[in-house]
Amino acid sequence: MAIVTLDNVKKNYMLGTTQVPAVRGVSFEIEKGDFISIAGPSGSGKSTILNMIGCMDTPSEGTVIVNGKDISQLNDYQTTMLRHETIGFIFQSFNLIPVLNVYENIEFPLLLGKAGTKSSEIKKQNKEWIEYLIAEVGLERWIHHKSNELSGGQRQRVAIARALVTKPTIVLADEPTANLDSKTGEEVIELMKKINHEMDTTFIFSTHDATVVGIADHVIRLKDGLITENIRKGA
Amino acid sequence: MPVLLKIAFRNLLQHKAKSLIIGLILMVGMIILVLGNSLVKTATEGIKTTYTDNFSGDLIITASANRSLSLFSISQEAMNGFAEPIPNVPDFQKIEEYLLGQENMAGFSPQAATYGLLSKDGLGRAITLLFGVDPTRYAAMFPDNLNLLDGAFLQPGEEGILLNERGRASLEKNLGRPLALGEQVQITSTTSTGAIKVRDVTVRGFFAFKEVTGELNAVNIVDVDTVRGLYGMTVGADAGVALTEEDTKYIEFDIDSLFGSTAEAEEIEIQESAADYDNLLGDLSQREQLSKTDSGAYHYVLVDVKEGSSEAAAIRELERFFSDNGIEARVAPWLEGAGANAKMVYNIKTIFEIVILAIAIVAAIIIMNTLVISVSERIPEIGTIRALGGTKSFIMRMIGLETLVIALTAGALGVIISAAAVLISGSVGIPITNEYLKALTGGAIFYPALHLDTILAAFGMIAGIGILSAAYPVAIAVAIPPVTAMRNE
Ligand SMILES: Nc1ncnc2c1ncn2[C@@H]1O[C@H](COP(=O)(O)OP(=O)(O)OP(=O)(O)O)[C@@H](O)[C@H]1O
Ligand SMILES: [Mg+2]
Repeated sequence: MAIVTLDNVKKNYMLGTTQVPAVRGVSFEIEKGDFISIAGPSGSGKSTILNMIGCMDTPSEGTVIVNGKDISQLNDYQTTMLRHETIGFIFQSFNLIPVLNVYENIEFPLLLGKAGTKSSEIKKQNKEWIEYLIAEVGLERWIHHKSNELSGGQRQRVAIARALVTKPTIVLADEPTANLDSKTGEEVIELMKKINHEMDTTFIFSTHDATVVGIADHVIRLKDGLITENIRKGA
Repeated sequence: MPVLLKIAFRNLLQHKAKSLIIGLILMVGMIILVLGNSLVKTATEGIKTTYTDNFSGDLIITASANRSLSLFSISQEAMNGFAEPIPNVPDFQKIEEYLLGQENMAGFSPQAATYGLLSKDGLGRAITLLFGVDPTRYAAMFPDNLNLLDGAFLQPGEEGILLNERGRASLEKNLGRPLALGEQVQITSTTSTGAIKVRDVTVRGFFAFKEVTGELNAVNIVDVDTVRGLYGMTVGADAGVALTEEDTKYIEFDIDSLFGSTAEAEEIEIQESAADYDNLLGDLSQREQLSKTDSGAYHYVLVDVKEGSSEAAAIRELERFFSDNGIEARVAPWLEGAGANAKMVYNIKTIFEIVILAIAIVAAIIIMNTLVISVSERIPEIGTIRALGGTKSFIMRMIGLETLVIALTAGALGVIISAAAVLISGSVGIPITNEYLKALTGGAIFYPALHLDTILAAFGMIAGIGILSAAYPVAIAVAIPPVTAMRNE
């Protein structure tokens, strides 16, 4: 069963009095465990689609189903919970919490839930899990550093670990490499791919970078708010 | 909660300047609140003790028809008495009986008041307020409010006057010699209907009030019958106005010449017209009738409520007693009887409270602004937290907690500083040199006292300012959509 389904999704933005069609009728499915790239030129509607899959925006027309739930039917609290339980986020500008260090940033999403009431056994497990993720992204030496003491690539690694800490089914990444040099960008995508293999987490990321697109197993190409290509490698 | 506290503390440290601005405003606010309230509270409590122990008692009873309840203004109103006579306390015997039977009453002093012009053998210029007292009751109720410099307090049933230092000095200056005990002085006054009266009274003693508020400088104490005679408080409250039309004609004539001019001229004219009036009235039998006074006639009754008993309850009981018995009297707390100086302190208190409110509003606006700026600088961070699954309530608690941490820290610091200041000045004392302030604070050295409820009220106020100023920024923060996390600057 698809983890994400878009059915004839349209999204219009109002710019003053004129309607801007950002997405003009898009349908596709994403399977659990996919490593999928949404590619296309600037303004083609990549972010608009990711925002809807991330339950941060709703379609003007059509339906977006995430983990079996029609996101248009949910209220603010329900979408917040859906995000918290099902989706991990990796942002273009990393978006680490400035006052928290590497460990605390990764731990943070766990504390947004009911972590405060959890037993010491679970706390211990969480600590081991966070430390495992820190090792996984190779930041053992930086564990007590704040984000302003890290390079862009390191920050994005922290963000990847943070996105994974709640063991989400889906990780969303809108242009995760745009603020990185191409070598670091490729390393970050390779890291995501490794985790995708190891943990069977679904990764959905957007990019304009052709080399980054090459690493994806499943590519959806957009142009002017419409799909021009939807290919699954090895399928 | 720990993660929220961690974020709150670190954010406050991160944005030191902002935290400092808000913290300083709150701290200074706290200091003003605690210091100001302590001073005002000590002053009002001081003035209350001074007045209730020395002049006003805890409650004052007058006739319902009485416009003014102040001890001092009753005497002053006597000057305008012809326009609207001061009514006697109705059914005094019943009230007296009631007061004597009450457990919670420590004492009472029925009094009559008027004003007059003191003179000796046609020489003199001291305007006086006269407290006409029942000596036994007055001395029992205010056992310690004056220093007798010479002579003795009035004896029951004895006619006479106790002269305060100012009255004595002014008379002696005009006489050119010291006044002796037992000498007669003259008081010229007008009755409730405007007739001029002159009475001889015997000087029984010289005194000084222990606590001098401005108004008391002019007060001399006489036996109540002298006031009754001067004011024309004759048998029954109405007898005093039983004048013929012919009489009032002269009265009106006299009055115009009496009060239209400067003080200097006034005094001379009073004496002249007083003499004229005596001649004009002529009819001695009517005069005698008018001066035969009613032993139950008083303008007001001061009541002392027992220490520890509720004054409000005493007022309610008295009001019930009045209405049950159809007595047209009213009762009020001491402040109404205490006069302008005491009210001034309470007015200052009100003004202070208004100033505090204004400061609080300004502080709240400044803090609100600072918090709004702080929130708008953290839009991506707040959006990220929302995207990661932070609920609106989490955001609310995050911003609220930051404000709370500052408010509590600043409040605690403010309390420590101001409490120390109050305690130190309370043990050392603040010397008061200004005469007017002295009258207000009731002494040359002012000892402010710290009260727990002042501190609690100040904390309440700070909390109120905090909540008020955080409400709008919190609303802004909560409204930040998670999608802002996806935007890139
Ligand atoms: N909030 C908005 N209000 C108005 N128009 C918007 C808004 N967001 C996006 N658009 C418009 O919708 C269209 C699609 O935008 P979108 O951000 O999805 O493109 P994108 O493929 O992510 O581009 P980029 O590669 O530059 O990030 C664009 O024309 C954009 O101008
Ligand atoms: Mg985009």
